[in-house]
Amino acid sequence: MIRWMLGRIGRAAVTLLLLLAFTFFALKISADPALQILGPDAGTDAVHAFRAKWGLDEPLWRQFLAYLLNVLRLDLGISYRTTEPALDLVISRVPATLALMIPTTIVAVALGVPTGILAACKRGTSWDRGITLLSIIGFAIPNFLIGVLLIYLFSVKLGWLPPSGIVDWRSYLMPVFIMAIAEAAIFARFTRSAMIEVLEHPMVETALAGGFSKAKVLAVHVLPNAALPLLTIVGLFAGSLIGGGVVTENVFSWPGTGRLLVESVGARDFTVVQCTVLLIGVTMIVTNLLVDVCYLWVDPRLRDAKRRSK
Amino acid sequence: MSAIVEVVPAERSSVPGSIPFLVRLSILFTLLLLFCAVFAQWLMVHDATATNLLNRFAPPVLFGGDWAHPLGTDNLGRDMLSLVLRAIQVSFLVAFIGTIGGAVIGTILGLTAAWAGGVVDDIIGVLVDFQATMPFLVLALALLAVLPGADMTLFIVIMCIYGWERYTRLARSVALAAKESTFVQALTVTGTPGWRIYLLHILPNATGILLVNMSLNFPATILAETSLNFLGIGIQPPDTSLGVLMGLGRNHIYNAPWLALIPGLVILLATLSVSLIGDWLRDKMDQA
Amino acid sequence: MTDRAGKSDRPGTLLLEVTGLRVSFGATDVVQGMDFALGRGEIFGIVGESGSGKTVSCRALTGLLPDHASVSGHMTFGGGNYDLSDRSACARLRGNHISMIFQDPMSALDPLMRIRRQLALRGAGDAQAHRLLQQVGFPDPTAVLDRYPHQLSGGQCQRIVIACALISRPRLLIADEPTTALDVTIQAGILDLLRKTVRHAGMSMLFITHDLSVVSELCDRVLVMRHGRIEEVGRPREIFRHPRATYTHSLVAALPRPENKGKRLPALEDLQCGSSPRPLPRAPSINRKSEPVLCFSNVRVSYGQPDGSRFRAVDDISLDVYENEILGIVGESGSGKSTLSRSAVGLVRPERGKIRIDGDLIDWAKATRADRRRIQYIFQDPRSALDPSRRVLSQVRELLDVHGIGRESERDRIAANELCRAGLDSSLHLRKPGSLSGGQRQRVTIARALALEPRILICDEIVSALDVSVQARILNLLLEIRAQRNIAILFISHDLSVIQHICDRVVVMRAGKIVESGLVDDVWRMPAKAYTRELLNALPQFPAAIGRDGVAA
Repeated sequence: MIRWMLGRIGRAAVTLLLLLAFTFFALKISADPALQILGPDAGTDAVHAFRAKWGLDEPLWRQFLAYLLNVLRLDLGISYRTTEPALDLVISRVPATLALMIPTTIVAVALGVPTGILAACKRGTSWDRGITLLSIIGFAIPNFLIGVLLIYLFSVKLGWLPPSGIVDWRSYLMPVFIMAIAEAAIFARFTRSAMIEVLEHPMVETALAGGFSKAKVLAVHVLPNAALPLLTIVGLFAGSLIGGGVVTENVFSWPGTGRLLVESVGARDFTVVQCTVLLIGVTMIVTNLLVDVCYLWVDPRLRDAKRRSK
Repeated sequence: MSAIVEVVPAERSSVPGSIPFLVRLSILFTLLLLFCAVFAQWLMVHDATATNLLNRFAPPVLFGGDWAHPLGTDNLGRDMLSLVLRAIQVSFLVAFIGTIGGAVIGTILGLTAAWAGGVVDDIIGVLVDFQATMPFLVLALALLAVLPGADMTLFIVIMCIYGWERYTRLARSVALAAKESTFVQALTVTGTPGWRIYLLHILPNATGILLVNMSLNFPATILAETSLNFLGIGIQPPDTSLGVLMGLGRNHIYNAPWLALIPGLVILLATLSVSLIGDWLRDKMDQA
Repeated sequence: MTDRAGKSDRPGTLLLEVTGLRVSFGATDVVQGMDFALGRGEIFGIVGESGSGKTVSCRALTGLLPDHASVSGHMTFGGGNYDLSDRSACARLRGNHISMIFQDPMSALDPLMRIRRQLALRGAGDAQAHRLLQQVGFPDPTAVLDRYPHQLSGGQCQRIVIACALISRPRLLIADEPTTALDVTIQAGILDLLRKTVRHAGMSMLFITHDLSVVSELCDRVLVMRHGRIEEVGRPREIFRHPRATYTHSLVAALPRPENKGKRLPALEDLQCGSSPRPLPRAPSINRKSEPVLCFSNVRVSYGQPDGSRFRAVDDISLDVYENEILGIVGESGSGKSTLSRSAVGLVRPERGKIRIDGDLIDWAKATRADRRRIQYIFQDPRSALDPSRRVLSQVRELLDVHGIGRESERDRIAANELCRAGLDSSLHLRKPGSLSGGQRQRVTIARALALEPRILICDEIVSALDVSVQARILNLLLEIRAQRNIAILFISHDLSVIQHICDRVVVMRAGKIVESGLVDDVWRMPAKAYTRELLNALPQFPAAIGRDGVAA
């Protein structure tokens, strides 16, 4: 079991390294820091001196190593735009994003999972077809389109809700609604297919033959077993919390990380872009690792398979 | 030889069966969009780039405009109908090449991983992991930020990245399952060479599932493209796409809502109809 | 268990009576009017081949059919009257008066739940759970109660399922193919348990199976079904000794038994027109002094296990197969019989030992295509052994292309000829495997193998998934092939009666080793080893086949 965990952690570490290499090379090709800092009119000597000072004339692998060390020390460079440390800038935007994402997750799960269950139980009926159609619509409808439409309706025409930024609790209504719809659509679909798979398992028939009511079979056997594959989806979703709302945050001028990313891309503020990408990547890697541990905890078959392999 | 009287399932009829109304509508609409995309040049009455500052924000016919500009004009006085046609052309081109590119890259990598195994499989696996940890929109934004000179070609290349890892996973798992399956073992035992098994037996059996994934991926590609361009990153004016139009229209939502509504509606109907077709195809596959 | 007496039924009176049972799915009638009755304390068998409607009819009794099935008919059960079209009324009997057990025990239990909880959910307290587990044959119930299903074997799972079914002290137990997925010795244990439990508790049992010999050994009365209709009902010994229905006669005649060893097993049509089946061509003589066609010497195959140790699936086995000979390998699951045969074609790599074909040493890592031609392998499941997306003729033809057999323009004809010789009518050659029956698919794989004109054919459980009548046809075909082609056949099976019918010599395997080998007749009559005797005893005995009186106890 420990070996399996180590394997998982190793794989995550390699992915992380790849992520760091990606951000490092992205930074390298994006711009010459010497020219960025000194300005395009700087003399050749000044540029050379700058490069020597910051180790930019060293071989690439040493620069990468230095970069890794800096990342370990949580030194991710200075924002070109605001001259703040990039990490501080990104972190300062995280709470606003979380304030949007946590209610979104709750609403999406509360909406998506029960509808998925309903669709699976009423498989083949008009309930099922209706829910499937709704989830296709929910998935296909662009976030920015409903965003713009809602702003037009509720802010411009009716004047009920603030169109942008965080004013009060009403500010949350539109963005949460918009993102929750798309995510609920995904949850509903996955719940439905996970449920149907379990419903076709012979144990369901055995339990029915043993006199269980449909509701009891559902509660005791089907839901716990269907929750297993859902765990992966929830894990993926939780991991994308920080990056997920890029479009919605921009529609509502929300002061979160997604908007910061787009602003930084527009201003070619590469250190901040790099920092955001790293943060999102690390969150995803960590949550995926957590999901793996969860599986080990809930599935006795997996636990045994891993225990046998020590 | 003994006579054959075993129970024989009837040969599956090749009649397509009834196509649901919504799916028919979707197919029709998709064909219409395709027609617009292919023949946009000939359908445009006005030059899509010609500005006319004297005739800005002309409303569409339905909002009280005239037939000279059936969909009105934008903030620079350009003809919206021509703009939308041009935008459909660009968006569909990007989505098509992006979808096919992603499918080809992903499938090749997936089959390679299954075929080679070992280190190659691990390397491709880590690449897939990496892609899965990075939401596409974020990755595309980062790439567009660092790569100099964001032109159309670069944008399309980046769109090809979208969703490749899903094809890789699918192709790899299908090929691995096939590798373990009796039917490939049976072919191996008869001396059929490996390339022949992969190209003539495994790949054709995987096409169905890959095609379905493509049809589900296509609307997502349209969404990704329009989202990026809505954010103002990607295709730069004067070139246009449905996302670019949508982004422009958003700025004038107070005085000329149709500038956002028209491209928005096209995007919505396009993604919706292709999704419906894809979903229907998947159901068909599941039943088969 | 005297506390059961309250609910037990006096034998002799009727417990269940079904009249006019009909089930249809859309336009297809699956059960077309069935009447039968079941006495209290009686074990009643329903036997039929796949698609006969036996399973559907029993599910209809407890309202377990999907909603789109339409059911009609009437049932009296324990004094109550039930309209079978009223599903919810029938459903109330489930788990209360009627319990059911199904074929696949491993997946009948919730994989995420300990056994204790699975029993508790069905209303068994700890004390009752203990008692029940002891009753179904677990000497140490405490250890079992804390296990998860995947930690138990198939036979153990089926015992747990039986225990679950007994909790509510039902008056009727419906068992649907409960032993089909199990090894023969395990099957014997489960059948014994079922018989004892039912008799002891005074319950009745409805036992559904495709296996005539199981029915004849277990049941008091039996009902033979075909195409949704009852062919005949009666006591098993009478039915199988003197069948009234031609269909029953054909089923009995299709069973491989010592009396018809090596003979053509008659098909239903043969019996219908009253002609005796055409005799098989005479088997050519076997020269066991010549060079063996296939020779294993000291072959060992082992698998690495996750914990680093190695598991020896095949342990130092030497074996020769001669021209014109059919050699049987028999063994239970995990005996290594399939691994051994796979090592002969390079599907698994032997760790040690040599494999020779016609005296030539074969190393599959660098074998030529010509080497491949000399040995062919047929798998148990023909559906998965064929490419689902290509017509069967082209699948046979492809091999001719690969090996360059015949002129290009001739190949379609050669392939078609090979399919016809394997008994596949030419009207079916352009179909895809999906629209053929199981037996027809198996004919395709046989044709595909024989098209390469191999020296040796390996048949790995190729009839295990087939109905008795189809099995008979494939066995006839194999005997024909042997007589006509100067070929050696290695026939792997878990079914001793099939081995006995078709093979010249037999090898009994267990845990990777050869337990016993010899001429089939000798081993069958006088097994030298205890394990072989155990296998033979576990084989359900067919009344007509044995001279002794009555049914095995």
